[in-house]
Amino acid sequence: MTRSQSLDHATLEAAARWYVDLRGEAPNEALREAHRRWLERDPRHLQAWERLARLQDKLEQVAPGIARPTLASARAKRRDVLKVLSILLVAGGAGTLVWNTTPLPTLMADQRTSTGERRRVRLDDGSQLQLNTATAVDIRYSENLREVRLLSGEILIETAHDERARPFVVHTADGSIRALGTRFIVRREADHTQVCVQEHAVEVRSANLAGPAVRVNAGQQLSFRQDDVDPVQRANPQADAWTRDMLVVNDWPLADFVMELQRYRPGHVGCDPAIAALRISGAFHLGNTDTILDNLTSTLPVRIRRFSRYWASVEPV
Amino acid sequence: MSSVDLSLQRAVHTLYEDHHNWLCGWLRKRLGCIDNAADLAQDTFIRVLTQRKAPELREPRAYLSTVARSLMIDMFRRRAVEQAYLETLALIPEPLAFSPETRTLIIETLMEIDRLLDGLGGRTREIFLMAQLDGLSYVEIGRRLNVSVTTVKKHAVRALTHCLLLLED
Repeated sequence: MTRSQSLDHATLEAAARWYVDLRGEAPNEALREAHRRWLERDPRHLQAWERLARLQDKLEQVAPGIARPTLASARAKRRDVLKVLSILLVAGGAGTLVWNTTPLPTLMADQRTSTGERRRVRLDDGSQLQLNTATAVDIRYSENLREVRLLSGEILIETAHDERARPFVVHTADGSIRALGTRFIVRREADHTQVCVQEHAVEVRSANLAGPAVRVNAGQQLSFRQDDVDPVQRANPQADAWTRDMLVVNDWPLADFVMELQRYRPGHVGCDPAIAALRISGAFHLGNTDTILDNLTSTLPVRIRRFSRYWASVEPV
Repeated sequence: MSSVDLSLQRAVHTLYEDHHNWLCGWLRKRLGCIDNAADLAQDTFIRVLTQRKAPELREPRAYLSTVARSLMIDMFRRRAVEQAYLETLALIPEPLAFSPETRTLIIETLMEIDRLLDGLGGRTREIFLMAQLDGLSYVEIGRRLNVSVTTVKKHAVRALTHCLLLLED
């Protein structure tokens, strides 16, 4: 412990810089010689370098094909738990954290799908809720209100007639959507919410915006944030293709297509900027995204490079 | 055994008698599970014993709850890593059979890496993982993320320094 404290930030940063320089392209003999002199100049330099070697060892202990996806998914799980935890710690134990065999997913949300999964849920009043990939929702039916909170992902809702005529409202971080007897899709993105109406209409209220709600009719869609609402657009007629396990696109830039595909795949899939603007149309079965990637190569001048099961990249031929 | 050790043991013993039940209740309220609460309470006292802090505690309950809280966060980290690891294995086409010892070692290592990565920004962490786990060159990383090699190296140095500061000799 005392030894480790003797290594200051500057020394460790210098070691890191040496490592990065040496690992960089074409290190030359002069650089290596300079590095040797640096190591000899001060015992703490050598100590820092040894610590760096130990870090390397640690990182190489687990195969990257396992370490990578595990770390990514563990982090996502932990983000959810820490959210709950910080609330509990602040609230001084007002709540209880329940842990069972499927702990993390159920902690935050009443209903949740993992990446690539889709699910249909029937609500108490007969309304239908469909969850697309990587989606989490809380459902709360009370005396006067039917409420669904979309925490992440995408849902399709078909409201049923309610005997007590309770309003049906979907909340997201960006605001709320009130159903007017209807079928509609709500998709939560990092910085906005998109709503796409297929039957009848909904009313959208952005969280921090006063004034009247914006009405969105069948065949229309719009995006909104906490502080503003975009103009109404014509709806993408294939927005609900995922409920049939399909992804249907018409003249999309390849980069957008790959980004959309990413939602359904655990691990990373990238698109080389050189081919980002290529256009793509077609109907793709979401059951196997690897097949979709492979099929790209027969219609576009691209190839798929895979480093592991969790890392694929679409590149020019 | 030295007299220091003896006085420490006595102090921890008193601490245990006075506050063990309270700590169990504190943990149970947060975990909703009696077994976990008892285990974590035990671990908390062991941690106090090994940190040799007991004799000078002025606010024992505040201190105990701080230690218990960090152990709780660690438990969540372990569960998240274990669960993620099992999910990852399930997705691998060729079945991998590890001995329980190897598995424990892998989980420990992944937990440690995960702990090291705490506090790094998203972009810095990604660049670090691309370099150190995916084995990509800085030029290749720059090309993929559409940033300059200088930027990539800056992030790499920052991430390495961060990890080195957390590692102990």
